[in-house]
Amino acid sequence: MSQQHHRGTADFIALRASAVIMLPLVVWLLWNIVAHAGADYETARAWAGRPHNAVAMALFIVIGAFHMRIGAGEIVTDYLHDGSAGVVRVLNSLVCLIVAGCAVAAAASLAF
Amino acid sequence: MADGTPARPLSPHLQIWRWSPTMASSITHRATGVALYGGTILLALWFASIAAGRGAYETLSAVLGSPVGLVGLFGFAWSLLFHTLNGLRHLYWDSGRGLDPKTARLTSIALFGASAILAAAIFALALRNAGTF
Ligand code: HEM
Repeated sequence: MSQQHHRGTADFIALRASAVIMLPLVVWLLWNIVAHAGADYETARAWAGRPHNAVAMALFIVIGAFHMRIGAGEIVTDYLHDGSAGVVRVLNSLVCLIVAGCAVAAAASLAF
Repeated sequence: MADGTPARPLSPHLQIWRWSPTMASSITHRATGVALYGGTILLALWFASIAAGRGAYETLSAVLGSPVGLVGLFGFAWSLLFHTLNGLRHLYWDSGRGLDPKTARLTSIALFGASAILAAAIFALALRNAGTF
């Protein structure tokens, strides 16, 4: 637990840096969701097969996973003061790592 | 802490707040952060389903297009808008500005309104493009 307590400033900066990087990606994502809502498989496959779309999608998910790992860690620090905190932190890191890995693997297989 | 390391500052505990738009927006930032945690997992699943093939994509699309799925998607859109706009306000606050109670109260109310209106507009546009209405 003590390890989490003297990394507060680094986490503070990393959370904000990832938020700033995500800003343009959020606009891009919302724009594309509106433009392609209800797309059939062929359309979705062609969209995801374009490298700039695959890269932007993977970037949003990877940076989102980075940001939400820190954010959820902050919530753990606030509310969990017993032995469960360590387990929840490991699970949190694991989930975020899998999410990021899935996005990169999907982008690689779709567009490259 | 028992091991002598200085503890990080914690958020004030939930029960000692008196209700105000400012505290509501603070709690909502945390709640939408948790909702987006789920939303990002879902987004990764959706992206991976395209790579997995037609069957996976069409199954997931059917779930997302069902009434429950649409409510979830609206929640995701609103959460993303509220959290992003309020995140911008957080970054502005970090510069030491906009922190006085009156301004914070006004921007909190504006944020709830703006995020709801934007989410509704985006959702209506998406539904129209999807041919749902
Ligand atoms: C993938 C989408 C996102 C997820 C899953 C996510 C998740 C989270 C979580 C769980 C927290 C911690 C909440 C808390 O401590 O109460 C958080 C905090 C934060 N988020 Fe996000 N977030 C996302 C996108 C964004 C975006 C696009 C911004 C852009 C401005 C942003 C800005 C922030 C800021 C500034 C904080 C810190 C708030 C504070 O200090 O209390 N987030 N986020």
